[in-house]
Amino acid sequence: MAVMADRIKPFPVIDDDNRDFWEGARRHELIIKRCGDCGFYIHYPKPFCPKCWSENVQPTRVSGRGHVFTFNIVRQQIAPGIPPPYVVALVALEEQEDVRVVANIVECAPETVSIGMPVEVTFQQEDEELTIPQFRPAARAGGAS
Amino acid sequence: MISHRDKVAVVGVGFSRVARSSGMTVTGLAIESCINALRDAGLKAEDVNGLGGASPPNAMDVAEGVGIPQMSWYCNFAYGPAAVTGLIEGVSAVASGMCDTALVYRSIVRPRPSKLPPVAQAAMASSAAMWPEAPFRAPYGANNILSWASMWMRRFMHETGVTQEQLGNISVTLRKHASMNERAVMRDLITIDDYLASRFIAEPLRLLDCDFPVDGAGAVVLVPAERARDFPHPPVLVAAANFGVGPRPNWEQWDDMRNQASKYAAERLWAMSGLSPGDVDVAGLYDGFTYLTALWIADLGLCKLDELGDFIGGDSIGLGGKLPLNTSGGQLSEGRIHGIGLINEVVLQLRGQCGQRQVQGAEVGVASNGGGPLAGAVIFRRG
Ligand SMILES: [Zn+2]
Repeated sequence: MAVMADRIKPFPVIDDDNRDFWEGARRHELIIKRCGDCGFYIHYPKPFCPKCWSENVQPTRVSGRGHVFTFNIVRQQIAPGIPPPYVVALVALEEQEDVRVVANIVECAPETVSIGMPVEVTFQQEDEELTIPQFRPAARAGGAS
Repeated sequence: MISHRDKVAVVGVGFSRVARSSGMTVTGLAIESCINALRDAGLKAEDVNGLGGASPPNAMDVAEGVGIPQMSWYCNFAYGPAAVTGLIEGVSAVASGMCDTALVYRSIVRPRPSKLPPVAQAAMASSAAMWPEAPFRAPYGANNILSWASMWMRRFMHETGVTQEQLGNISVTLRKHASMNERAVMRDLITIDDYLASRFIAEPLRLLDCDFPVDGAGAVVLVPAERARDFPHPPVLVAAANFGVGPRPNWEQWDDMRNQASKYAAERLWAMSGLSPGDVDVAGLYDGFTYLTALWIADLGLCKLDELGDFIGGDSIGLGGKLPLNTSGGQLSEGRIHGIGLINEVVLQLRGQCGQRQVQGAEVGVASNGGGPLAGAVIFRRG
């Protein structure tokens, strides 16, 4: 498998705010920062809770379940190393609707994706150092729009 | 409320050459547009003591190139709702007395091929230094406005019921306007069938929903309103100008289509201006993507949200309609000079200088840039 020096596809540059998310993905866990005092999920991660200013912000494992808030079907190459067609979606998480995780919807034909479709997280290994969360149609029924 | 209403006037506008490939740098184009705006205003470089715009270029390089000997105000902004950002900053500088004559510009060039090795390009594309969200989009082929815009276009249609055909009528109408504008890069008429046949970039976003990259720049000269009569052209007053910024900084983490930054921008704008949406004779609303233009029409109160589809799908947005929209042809025809073309066109309309596409008796105009998480708008009126 390739290592970082060979990368052509855009990859996340790790910093102090986002490290927990990407380290979690390597363990196959979807990690979202959450305020330990008021319970608010903070995504994209920042070191303080914007609701109560608490610094007690903890990396928290979430269910990985959610629904497609909106999506596209990319038909033209807009990123190196990522051939179209593919779906980019905003996945609204079950834990907090306004936490929207950007991911591709995988394991289904792009044309079958719809707004409100229930999805669940899965993990895709990119290389020795990088694993990324992705979403696929959920096994269970239900959803929201 | 402290008011800037009617305190600042636009006394000059100018463009650089605008072309698919200009052979000029972003600094060179900015200088050209500033010189042309000063010529339009009948001013010399030494009359200017304020200069600002998006960076790159560096405002100090532009000042040197124009020959401005000294400045008491300048600004280099990194990110804002396109060209209106510079205009809003310039209005506040002149209204507050920080400078007496301000030049504001927006200069932009098509992306040039990078000479960096692929891994460095990949890393740069997803560094969090400026965009904390970039690493979260990068590995998904989503670190590109086409990706965000297409997702939000789908959500917009889902929530409002506006159709692709109705959005397409914006492209068709604007191209008709462009056929009367010598500045426009694209002037050939298109039909709704051409629109529907244009390829998907990222479904539901079609090629003809999008503006297109060009090299170009535009500039505006601002002075206090009490001096506005001393210039060659009829003055145009800034009745109100402000940003709209909501609670989230990016295009993904946003509550819904009915609460985009364009709506926040509109709320204070009308109160400041003393005017109302019914007063608007001509509009220059951001058309980087058709759905943003549609959203601006509703958010500025120029049409009710539940009537938006019929409004943009019919004659209302054409010359002779209720709301002549982007009479230059907009960015969909002039190219992506990032909103400055829309602003300058509204000014030229209020000066009565748009020839064949002139809106007769135009007295009040509105220009807006941006959308999604960040927006800004200006209401102009004839002085
Ligand atoms: Zn909290």
